[in-house]
Amino acid sequence: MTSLRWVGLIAMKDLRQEFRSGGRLAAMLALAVLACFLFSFSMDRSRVAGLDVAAGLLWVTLLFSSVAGAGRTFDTEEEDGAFRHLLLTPVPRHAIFLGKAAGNLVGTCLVAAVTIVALTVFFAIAVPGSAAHHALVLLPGTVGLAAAGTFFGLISRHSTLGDSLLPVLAFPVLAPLVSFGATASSRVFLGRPWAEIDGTVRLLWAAAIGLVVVGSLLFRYITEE
Amino acid sequence: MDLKGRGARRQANVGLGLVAAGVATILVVHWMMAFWVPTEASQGVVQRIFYLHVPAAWTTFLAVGLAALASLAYLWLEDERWDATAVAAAEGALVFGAIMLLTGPLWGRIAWGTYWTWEPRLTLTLLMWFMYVGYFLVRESVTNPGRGKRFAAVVAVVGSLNIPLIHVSPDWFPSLHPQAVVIKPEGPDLPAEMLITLLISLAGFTMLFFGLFTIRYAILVLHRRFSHRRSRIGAVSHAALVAAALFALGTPAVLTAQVADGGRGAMRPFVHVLLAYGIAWVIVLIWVWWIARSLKRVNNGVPEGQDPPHQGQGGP
Repeated sequence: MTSLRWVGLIAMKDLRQEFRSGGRLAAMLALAVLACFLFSFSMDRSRVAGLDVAAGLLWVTLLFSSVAGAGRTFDTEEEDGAFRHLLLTPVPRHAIFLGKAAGNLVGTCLVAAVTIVALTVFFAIAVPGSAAHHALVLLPGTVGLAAAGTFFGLISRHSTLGDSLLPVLAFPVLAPLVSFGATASSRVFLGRPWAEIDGTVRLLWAAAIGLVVVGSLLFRYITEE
Repeated sequence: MDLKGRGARRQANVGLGLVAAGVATILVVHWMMAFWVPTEASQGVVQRIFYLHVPAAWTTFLAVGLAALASLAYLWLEDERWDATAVAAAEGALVFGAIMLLTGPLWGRIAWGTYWTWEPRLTLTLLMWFMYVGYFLVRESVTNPGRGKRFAAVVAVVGSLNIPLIHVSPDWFPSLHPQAVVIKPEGPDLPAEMLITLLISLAGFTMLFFGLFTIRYAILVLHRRFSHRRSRIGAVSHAALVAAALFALGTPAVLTAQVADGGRGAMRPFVHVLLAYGIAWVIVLIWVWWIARSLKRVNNGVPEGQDPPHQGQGGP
């Protein structure tokens, strides 16, 4: 069986499990909507235009929601020992990592879509740029967020500091991604042509692919017993 | 004494020699900075922080690179000595990184008008420093020590990936950070006095780092009793303390005399220079204290990362 098939199977297993229980994804979506709601009335709207801050808020919300969700990726499996059994199977470790990250990617994409809708509603942004351009910017961002969240989620799962360790490890790695993403998204919100956004999206892809490759290479070292 | 014990003695001697040479060299740099090197025309007195900030940055990246390479070797070979190398280097990265991150803003307040700006090199360096804070948090918070070491090694490797980004960031992104003035294709772009002071300072910081690193490594790896070394380490730290005190007391008098007719506003750059050098000494002395504490724990038979037994409960 090829690694790609293993990746697909693990991702499907995680998604099936997630959609059956739904707790983690619901919490991520609720956090995203509540964050947008809180941002909307914590700012003086007579002084701050929604379009000026929407991109930054989108990426900060996405960062917090995805990291909070990724921290719980391994919870259910660790509790009943299923993750240890998964490690005993002949599935390559990088395939396990990529499968788990792919499962998280679907959740992160959903959070991104809901966050954009929430920002549109709470900040009364009439036309938040082209939907296709938003998708092209958010896709590499969510790939990077899912990869880093999955990787550091497992490390923090074994720490006595728990979820409080996850931001300390993940935020420094994700900061360049968020910075590039917010720059690109702000241009999309302002309706700028793709030629002005393209360069930043390439940097986003470079950062995201870097995180996926490094995570795949190092995952076996954090899953050794 | 077995081979390990002799190795410990040799390493402690090498370390102490390097620390002494490093401290002496840095004191010479203090003298050069205060009395010999000319004042830079555009930035004024505050440019003298450069002889501290740049060597601290160099030492930080040296320590981060060493920690990352040692961590990779540990992940590959699973030899505890590589883990100890990574820990000693990562401590150096935190110490010299703190000096770099605290002295930079003191220069920036005068040169840029602000302590901090979200400039790419500053931001990435701060993030890398936090990754190394995470290195120690991971190490200490994972209940299985072997797993904690592996996780920490992985964090060190990931943290070091920032180094190339930090290096190229002023070229890739709009940046306020000064461009390179020494390592350039056309050669250094500095007056001879400034270049000599900087190079001597680089040598002093490098010796100080490798000296403290070697002592820390010896304590981490060998865990042998070399209590007679305590007095020497104590002597070096006391000498450094006295030198810092002399510097802290003597230099303001000299610098005040130099700007006696400049008014209070003219004193500000001098205060920032003094603060920068004072902070650097304090941070290095904190590391010396930490190393002396770990040596004391080894001598008392308390393993790294554990609390000593309470009085009355009996020792090991």
